[in-house]
Amino acid sequence: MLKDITLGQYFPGNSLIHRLDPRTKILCIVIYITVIFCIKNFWGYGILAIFTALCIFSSKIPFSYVIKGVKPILIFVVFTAVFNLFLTNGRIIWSWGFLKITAEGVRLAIFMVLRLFFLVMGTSLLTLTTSPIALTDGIERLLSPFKKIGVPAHELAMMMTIALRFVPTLLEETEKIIKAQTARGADFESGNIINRAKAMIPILIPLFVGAFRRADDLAVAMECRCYCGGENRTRLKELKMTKADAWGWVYVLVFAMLVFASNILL
Amino acid sequence: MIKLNDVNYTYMSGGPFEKAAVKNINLELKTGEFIGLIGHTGSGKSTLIQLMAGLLKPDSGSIAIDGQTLYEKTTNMRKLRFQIGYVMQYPEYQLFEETVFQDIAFGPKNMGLSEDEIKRRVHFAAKLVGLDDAVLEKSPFDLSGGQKRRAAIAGVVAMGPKLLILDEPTAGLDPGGRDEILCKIRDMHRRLGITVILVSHSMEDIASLADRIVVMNQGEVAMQGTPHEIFQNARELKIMGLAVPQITEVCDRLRDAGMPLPEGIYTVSAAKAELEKILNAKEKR
Amino acid sequence: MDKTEKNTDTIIEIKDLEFSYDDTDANETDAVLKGINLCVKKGEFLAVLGHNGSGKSTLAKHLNAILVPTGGAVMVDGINTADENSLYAIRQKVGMVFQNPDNQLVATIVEEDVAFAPENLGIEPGEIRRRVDYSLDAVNMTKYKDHSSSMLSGGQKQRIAVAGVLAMKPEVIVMDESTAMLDPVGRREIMETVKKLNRQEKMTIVMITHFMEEAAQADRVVVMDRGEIVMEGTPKEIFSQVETLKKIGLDVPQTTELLYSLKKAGFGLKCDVLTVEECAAEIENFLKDGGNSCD
Repeated sequence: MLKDITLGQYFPGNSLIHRLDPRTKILCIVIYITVIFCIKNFWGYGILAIFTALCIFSSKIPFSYVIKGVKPILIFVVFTAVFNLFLTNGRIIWSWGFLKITAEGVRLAIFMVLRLFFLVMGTSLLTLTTSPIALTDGIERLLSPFKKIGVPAHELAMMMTIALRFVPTLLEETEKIIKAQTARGADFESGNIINRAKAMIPILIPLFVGAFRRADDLAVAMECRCYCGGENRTRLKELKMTKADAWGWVYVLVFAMLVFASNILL
Repeated sequence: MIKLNDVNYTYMSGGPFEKAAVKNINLELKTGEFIGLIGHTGSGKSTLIQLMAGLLKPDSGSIAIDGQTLYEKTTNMRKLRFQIGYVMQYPEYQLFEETVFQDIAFGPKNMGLSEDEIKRRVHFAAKLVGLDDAVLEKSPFDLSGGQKRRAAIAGVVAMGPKLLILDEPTAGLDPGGRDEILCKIRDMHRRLGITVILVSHSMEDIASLADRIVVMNQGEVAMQGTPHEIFQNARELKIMGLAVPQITEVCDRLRDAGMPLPEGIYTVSAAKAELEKILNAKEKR
Repeated sequence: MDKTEKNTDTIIEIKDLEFSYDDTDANETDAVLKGINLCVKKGEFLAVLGHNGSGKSTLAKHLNAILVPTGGAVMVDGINTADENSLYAIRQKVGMVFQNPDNQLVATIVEEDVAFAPENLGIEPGEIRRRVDYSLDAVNMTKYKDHSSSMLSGGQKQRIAVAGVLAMKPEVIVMDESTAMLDPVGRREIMETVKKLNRQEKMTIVMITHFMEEAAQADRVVVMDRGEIVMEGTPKEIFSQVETLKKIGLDVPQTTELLYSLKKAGFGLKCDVLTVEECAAEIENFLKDGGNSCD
């Protein structure tokens, strides 16, 4: 069900990971992603797996809950795997008609799956342990040096806050509308691609109309609560780097170095 | 007409919060009955009506409509759904077409009916909910709140369902709009002879419309019976977070104070008649 | 500032308020509000009753300058709402809670949403923390402060919205049909919250509603129809006028309806009762007195 999507949702808690400064977490995730794409052998993935597992463990979020974040992109993962499996040139180990699987293909497919898997796990962990406000605050602060060259840091952050806030609301609404149109005999399952795309109209239009109505309401509500842009705004929770953040940095850098070492040595 | 046999449904939930479910539902509705479904939020009544509308698949147990079992391999679910009208809460959010006419025609079109038949049904349904022909050419987004809701209901009624399920059709409406919708629903039930299930939080509305009331509590059918029978259980209903109509409460209080009032009075006119008898008797003495 | 002119007991003063959405043609009949005169007193609980389209929500939107009069004036604590420079001062004084619980929360996490207004006002973090804690406590939602609002019930979401407004330290809270989309439990939660704020915190409440049971709990009721105030008085005074209420498309409670119909049948009952208890007591007393007089 749509409501089960965990990607981008916050899981309230007070673990070590929850308490890290969002800026630390955002930059660490950037390093994490870079590292994922640099891994050259299975040893690297081993280190990655241990590191990710440790992070999830110390976040105190149930492992199964983090895994659920991968579900929505499963089709994408399978597609990538199949694509790599059959379309990579190299030493053929199996073939049937025009289909062939190469050793390189197998290796590449496994790599791609692992990459996507850890990518989603890592980013899920970021959003699960960071409240949307903290996340956008972090982004706003990280972007603020670029304000001088015209990057609207506050506006971008506010847009993200609101977008994240409305993800569950809109998912719920989508589900309701799908049910209502199904009950009216709408057919989403048969026909060719064009027909199927057409079948989406009875869902998309109400959804857009609803989103605009909500946007209108929210704009008025925000004005009523004295919102007037980013100038002179203060924060309930000012961002502060602590000792924990220093340890976080050490931890991530050690991890990155281990992976690079494994790339060279093993 | 519709028969539920040991129906169970649980929401998949590995998250930190649990969702409402229904368990061991056994229920039988007869053709032409007007059923009032009550229960506080989270009692499972929304899940129950979605199961009956064929929008959720039961985990176990079976639901049959006129002998056809839902979600069986031989059952064409899409065709079967044509016979069940489902009006969701705030149904105006389902409107999407350019004109009201086209929107009401969406269901009949999906059924594969002929142009003439579609036209006939749209006009018929529009009349039933009290929308005149001038409105049919307007954009559904230009209508007033009450009109939008009636247009949405017409879109379901136009499919000619044997069973019409309405999930809080009066939510958010003012007294005028509410009375209008309820009046149209009563009308439809009488004129078309269809089975109606009305979900409502208003005991007064349920009391004035339903032949039979089904009370849901914690995912189970806690009580069922005529309004007269159900509203005799004020105490049990209160424990379930529900109320009886105000008028029933007044009569219960008076009976406790020793007045010879019968149990289960649920309309103002009935209460008035009974009290008049007592007052007249007293005056004669 | 000249304070002598303003009545210290009045927090909002509405004088000959007129409003129409299309101000290009001054067509009298198109006006949404036609000459409203109303004072809201400090600390009172005022209910504005009316059917959809009676102009009650338009009136509400004038109380904190979301809309500005096309004729007449609205004064909030001595400030004219037409004064654009005082916009934020007015909005800080008059907080507003809207109808749809899903469309007025800005942040996902409860306490972060409550902090939104004070953050906008540039209040220092320590004070924001105090206000957030106080506001959540006042609406009895402290234990949900770390929760995501999407997991809460409608009534809980509306209580968060009330807390979000409370954190501005307003003089008045306007509830613009804030119970219309809630179930009976949610409505009761909101009514209890609002009544508690009015009683314990001396908060001025303006409640826009079409539910009679809610208006019955106010100190004073104003009934609107077609952009005008047609009735004004205590709940008892209002609800005893059954005929007039029905004529303008409003309901009366079943209790009032019963007494009214008995009265019409020739029994000398009073109709100015609101609750089930009062209604039962009225009938009981009538029976006893009737019995006594015959003896």
